Amino acid sequence: MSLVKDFETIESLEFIVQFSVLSGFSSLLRAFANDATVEALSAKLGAQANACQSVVNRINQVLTKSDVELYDESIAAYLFCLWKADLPLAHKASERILETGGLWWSVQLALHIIKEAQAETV
Amino acid sequence: MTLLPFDDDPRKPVYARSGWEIPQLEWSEFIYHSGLQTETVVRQRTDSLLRDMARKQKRITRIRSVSTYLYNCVGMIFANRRAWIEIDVLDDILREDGYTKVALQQLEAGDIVSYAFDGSPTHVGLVTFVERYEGEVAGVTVLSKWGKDAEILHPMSDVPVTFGAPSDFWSERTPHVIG
Repeated sequence: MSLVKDFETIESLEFIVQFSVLSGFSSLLRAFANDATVEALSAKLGAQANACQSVVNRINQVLTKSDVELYDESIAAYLFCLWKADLPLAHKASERILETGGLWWSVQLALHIIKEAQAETV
Repeated sequence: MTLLPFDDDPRKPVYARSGWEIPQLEWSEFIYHSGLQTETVVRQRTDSLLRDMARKQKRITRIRSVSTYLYNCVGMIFANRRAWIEIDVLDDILREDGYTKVALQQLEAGDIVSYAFDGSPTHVGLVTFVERYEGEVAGVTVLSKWGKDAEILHPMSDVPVTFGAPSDFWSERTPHVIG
């Protein structure tokens, strides 16, 4: 499946609602780790040049949507994959996410990544 | 009684029966500062979820409510719909509130069912009805809040895949004998 197809799947309501029903940040991380679509995207980020940058660009596009809150779980899934592949890039994306309103899981993951990145630089 | 005015921190302390303060996310403040979810989005997600459940031959009884206020399954039961409490502290709350495990056969309305996926807690619901046939439990209806989405009345095992399955049953009841 191409990156564009992955983006379509991750931004579909069918994907989103699997994760919006969860009640804990650690449950979310476990669910992402067990999800086939997330796993497929993660594999591409490790194997394809520029794939990480494409995901960052996609996050930035989704963040400008007027109904961005609907895509909270999609953004979190993108960030999760990025976090596993490229921490500095995930850190930058996290800072951008924190500027956006109406998000829940994405903000929690962004804060988690920022803390981890800061701990690595100390 | 003096009512305190709302302040800028959405987190209000919640205590267990033992007096232990139930921990809440420091991150919660971010949702306050960044705005709550809209009802349209909650309804969109809930509709999609129910269509997905129907495709998987899972039933729900009724959507009880849709709220833009951010609380989850743990907050629904243990904080009267006032708070988001991470599912990871469920065991601590049950212990500090004096709950004990009960067998399925002992289950009554008002008891609690917890769910787990691969051994990790994912969800908790309030038992609202236990159907018995010839003394055996034939069906259990549960009311629970599905993450950021709606409160739903559903058969105990008809839940989203990410919840896993019912793992344990809990009650704080003590037997009552009419004197």
